[in-house]
Amino acid sequence: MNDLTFIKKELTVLIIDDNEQITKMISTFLRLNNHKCIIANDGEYGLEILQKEQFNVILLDLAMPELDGYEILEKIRSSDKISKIIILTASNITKENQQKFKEIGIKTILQKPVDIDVLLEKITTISKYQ
Amino acid sequence: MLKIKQVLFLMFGVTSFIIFYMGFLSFITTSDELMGTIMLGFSGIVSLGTLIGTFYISRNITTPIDELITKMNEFSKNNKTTKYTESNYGIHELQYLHKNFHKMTDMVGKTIEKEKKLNIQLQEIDKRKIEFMSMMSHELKTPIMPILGYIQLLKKQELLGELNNQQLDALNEIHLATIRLQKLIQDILTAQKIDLEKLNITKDMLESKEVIDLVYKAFSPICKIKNVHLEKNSENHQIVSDADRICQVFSNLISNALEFVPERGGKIEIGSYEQEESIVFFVKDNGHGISFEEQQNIFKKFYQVDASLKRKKEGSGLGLSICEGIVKALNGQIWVESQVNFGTTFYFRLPKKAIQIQHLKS
Repeated sequence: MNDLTFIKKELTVLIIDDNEQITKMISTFLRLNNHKCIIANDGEYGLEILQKEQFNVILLDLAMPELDGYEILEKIRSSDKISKIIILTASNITKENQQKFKEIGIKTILQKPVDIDVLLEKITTISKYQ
Repeated sequence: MLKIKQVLFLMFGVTSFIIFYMGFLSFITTSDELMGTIMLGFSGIVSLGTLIGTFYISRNITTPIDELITKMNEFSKNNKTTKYTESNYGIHELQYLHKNFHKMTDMVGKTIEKEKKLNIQLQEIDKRKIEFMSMMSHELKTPIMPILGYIQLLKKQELLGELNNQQLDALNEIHLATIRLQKLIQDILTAQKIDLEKLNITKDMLESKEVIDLVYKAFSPICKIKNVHLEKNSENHQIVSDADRICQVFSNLISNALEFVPERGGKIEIGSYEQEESIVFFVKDNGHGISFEEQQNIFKKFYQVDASLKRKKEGSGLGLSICEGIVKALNGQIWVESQVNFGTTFYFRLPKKAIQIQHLKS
């Protein structure tokens, strides 16, 4: 399968972020690129749907009220879904946490604001590994 | 070293011995036996009296001094002095010394206590400042994301529909302003992190040529828009350092250079070369140069070569101080060579092997 046919493959992406403007923008962009998007604007709903359904890629924000990204990662750390996660955060990640993320198998960490073309590229890269 | 006691006994001991010896001499030399006996008895009493006197005085002087020494030792150990108790030493000056020593230590002790409390308060404030900073950093960066995203989306006319030239022009202006705002926010946050010595540094094995290529790729489009010729010139060497931070320094230096190159025929050269155990990176421009006086100040925070409000150049004045902070955190040095009307070259030298990444407060 070459890259071109791959990009055309429809992906299902879960976006967990409490900022509605960001989820709306990203989902608009992804849908225009013919991908499916599911939005969770809070951690609890995010975790619930994450455990219930299958996704190609999961975009996860870290700083959220109530259940935050770190806690979600803690709860699914032994699941194979962890390799589908892209962390998308505006907060600073300490060296220790960066190391921890690497250890549990997270390949991509993006800092907000991220270029949407870069985001799309990372999403397709992650889905390729599956 | 001698002790007061020894000095006193030496002095008065010798004196009393001489007195007694003279009495003894007169006793054996005189013909008058009674006179001799009286002289001997008298000298004996005087010398004995001197000895007893010496003993008394020495005790009166040395006891309070010894006590003072003990108290001083105690105080220097735990900064706390025992309560002053009225004691009679018989010697006025020593009594006075004791009293004032107590007064002094009392004051110093209280000041130290105060200082400790203040220190705790300051640490608390510092902690809150850091918390505020990380919160602000998050809050400032978050809204930029949808703004930039939607601008990019609108520019992809195949996705959201065609824009006419005026609309595209307006969108371009918004885009430029947003990028400026984003850079400003990043500059302020980086400067603050440098101040707090909380700059994150990672250590990776890098190829210097790859770093230069990366910077070249990132700045080619803007140089093209501004009609500036960007050139790269790099040997390839391995270096253990932080690629993102090196790029950040380059980004600041190139942004500066772009402000100062002539509108026509502007030229910027970036590159790196090896020098002993270091790699030297450079950004060279053919701008109007920086005078020697100005060179002394450019690394200062908020310094602007033209500080007037009417100045044409944009920027926070943080760029070079950030470069200096980052380079220092990477264990390197940054410097400038410039000749007015002939251009400027900024250099920064980084050790090939990050010997010991500056210890960062966690």
